[in-house]
Amino acid sequence: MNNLLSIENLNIKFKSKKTYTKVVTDVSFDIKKGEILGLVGESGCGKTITSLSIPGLLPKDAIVENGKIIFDGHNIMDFNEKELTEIRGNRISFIFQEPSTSLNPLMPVGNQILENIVIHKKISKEEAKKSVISLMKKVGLSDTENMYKKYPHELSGGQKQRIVIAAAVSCNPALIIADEPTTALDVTIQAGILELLKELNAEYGSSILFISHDLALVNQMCDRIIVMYAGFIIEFSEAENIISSPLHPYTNGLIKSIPTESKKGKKLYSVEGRVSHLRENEKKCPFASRCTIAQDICFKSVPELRELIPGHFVRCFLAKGDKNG
Amino acid sequence: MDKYILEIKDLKKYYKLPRKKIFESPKFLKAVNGVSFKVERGETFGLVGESGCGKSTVGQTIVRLHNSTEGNIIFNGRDITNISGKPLKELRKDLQIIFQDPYSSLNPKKKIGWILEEPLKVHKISGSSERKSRVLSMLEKAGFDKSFASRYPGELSGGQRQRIAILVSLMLNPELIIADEPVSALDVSVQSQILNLMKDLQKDMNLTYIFISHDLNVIYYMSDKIAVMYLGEIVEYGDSESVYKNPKHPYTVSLFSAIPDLDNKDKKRIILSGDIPDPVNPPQGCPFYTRCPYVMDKCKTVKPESKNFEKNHTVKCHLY
Repeated sequence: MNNLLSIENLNIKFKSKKTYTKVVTDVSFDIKKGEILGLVGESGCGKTITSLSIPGLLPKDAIVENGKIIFDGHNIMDFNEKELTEIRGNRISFIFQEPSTSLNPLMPVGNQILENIVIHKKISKEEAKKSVISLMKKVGLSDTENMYKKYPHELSGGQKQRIVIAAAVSCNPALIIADEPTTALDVTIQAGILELLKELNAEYGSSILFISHDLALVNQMCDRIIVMYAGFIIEFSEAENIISSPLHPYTNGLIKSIPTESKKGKKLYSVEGRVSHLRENEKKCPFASRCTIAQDICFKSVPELRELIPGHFVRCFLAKGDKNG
Repeated sequence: MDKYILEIKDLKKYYKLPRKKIFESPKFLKAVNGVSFKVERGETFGLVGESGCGKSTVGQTIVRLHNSTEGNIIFNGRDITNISGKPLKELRKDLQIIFQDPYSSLNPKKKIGWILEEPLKVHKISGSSERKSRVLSMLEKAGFDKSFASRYPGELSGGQRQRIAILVSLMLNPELIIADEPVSALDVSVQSQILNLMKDLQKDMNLTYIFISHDLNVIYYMSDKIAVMYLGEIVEYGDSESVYKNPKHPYTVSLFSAIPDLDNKDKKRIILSGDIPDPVNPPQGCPFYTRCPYVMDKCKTVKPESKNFEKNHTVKCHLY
């Protein structure tokens, strides 16, 4: 078994006034051991909700209809709060977007890393402190003895995110969920953080679920990419296939709309309309209303995720193997 | 008419910080520290840099949301650095700004039609019915249906709101628009709509843009000239082709190398160590020397002068 985590048929909905909105529909994927898996999509596509469901951190009003999350052979969905606490921060850890909100402003940063180690490992505080210092060095912080006692507001954004990463890897987790870890940071700082994540992945063999809205960034980080749209996985393959020969019209449009060197002076493609989630029991392709090639069938039933080319999955009736979208 | 619509001469903007101890001499945050540039009529001038480099302050000082500490702002041949009162209000007809976040720049309690009409009312332009028809024709320009005039901002998506925000700035037929990160809060598929619209309107209405962004790909796509800012100074400036394809300043080089690129997955990245220095105590000498991979002794004490390369490419660095 070399799958670390398998999500099977995950369905999550929220109650809104009198109806339900499906935020995640039929999401299934695996993360292999040691892999960096990319999850990409625009705001509101369900990528964060999917990731929050893994360690049982969903908001209270979220309703999980069905689905299994198999981590290391156990279904996390069946875990009680105590069992969940045991894996959170220990076997599965999280890196969030905004480092200034994920750190406690009233606690020295060193202690925040220490806390995680002391909770999950039976070692003395002195030993733990030593490992905190070495972790801080590992994530590229200097003057660690002094930094240990500092409060989050005394550090820069990049430094704070390094502290969050140090805390996340402190118990040598099997899976790190990085939800837009560099979106709040500058590009030159971002480059350093990405390099660090790659190093940690290579050194500890932790799998990373890398979530971002930035296709170029995900392409640079990941081996395989999942593209989500309105709660559905609409395309899934090796990073190379997604970028160079996307099959779904949405992925194709997304790539065409990113300004790059070669597009200077030309009009950018844009995907018209806005994301709309399917209502309960609504049967159509979630992208149909914005799709330029949509036909009758697209408005009548929900397409299945099918393996069109070996290793390349797409949720579209009209996609063909030989040409783009 | 003058070739240049705007000229900035040695602009400085310092913010006085609150005293921590009584009798302590006040400290200043040097947000903009000696910036000079010229903007040609009809072009897009791209201003790029990371957070805290002073790019937004430059934009806001030009439209006179702040008063500058030192330096001159010359708009259409007239020094507007210290004007106030009625002339300033008149000036704002020609000089407009678009902000980053369309969720906070539109009044949530007013209808779109009202929001678009407001600038005309403020400047007492024409009668009510003519104003309304101007609002409708403006909406059409950006591809909106007329019915949008009676909707509230809350009913629109982020991209639609930003399009409205752009239209608001254009209601008075300005000449120069300062666009401060106009697409940073939007998704990529929406971002391209805004960029396309801005380009179309530029052609349509003979606009000059100062386009401020941290995203180099967007800057390159939009601009004719690019200026790279670091710690309150412009460290490199030139035609966008020249700066993008052949960056000279070590900061520009590393900044460009750090951008994730769809076309080129395995490009070599230069990773800078350390953080941007504190703008309260900027380093003596070159502002970049604390992070520069090619730092020399000279850099730590002497401020580099602008050096000219090809016709229109200047760099502030001791390497050259």
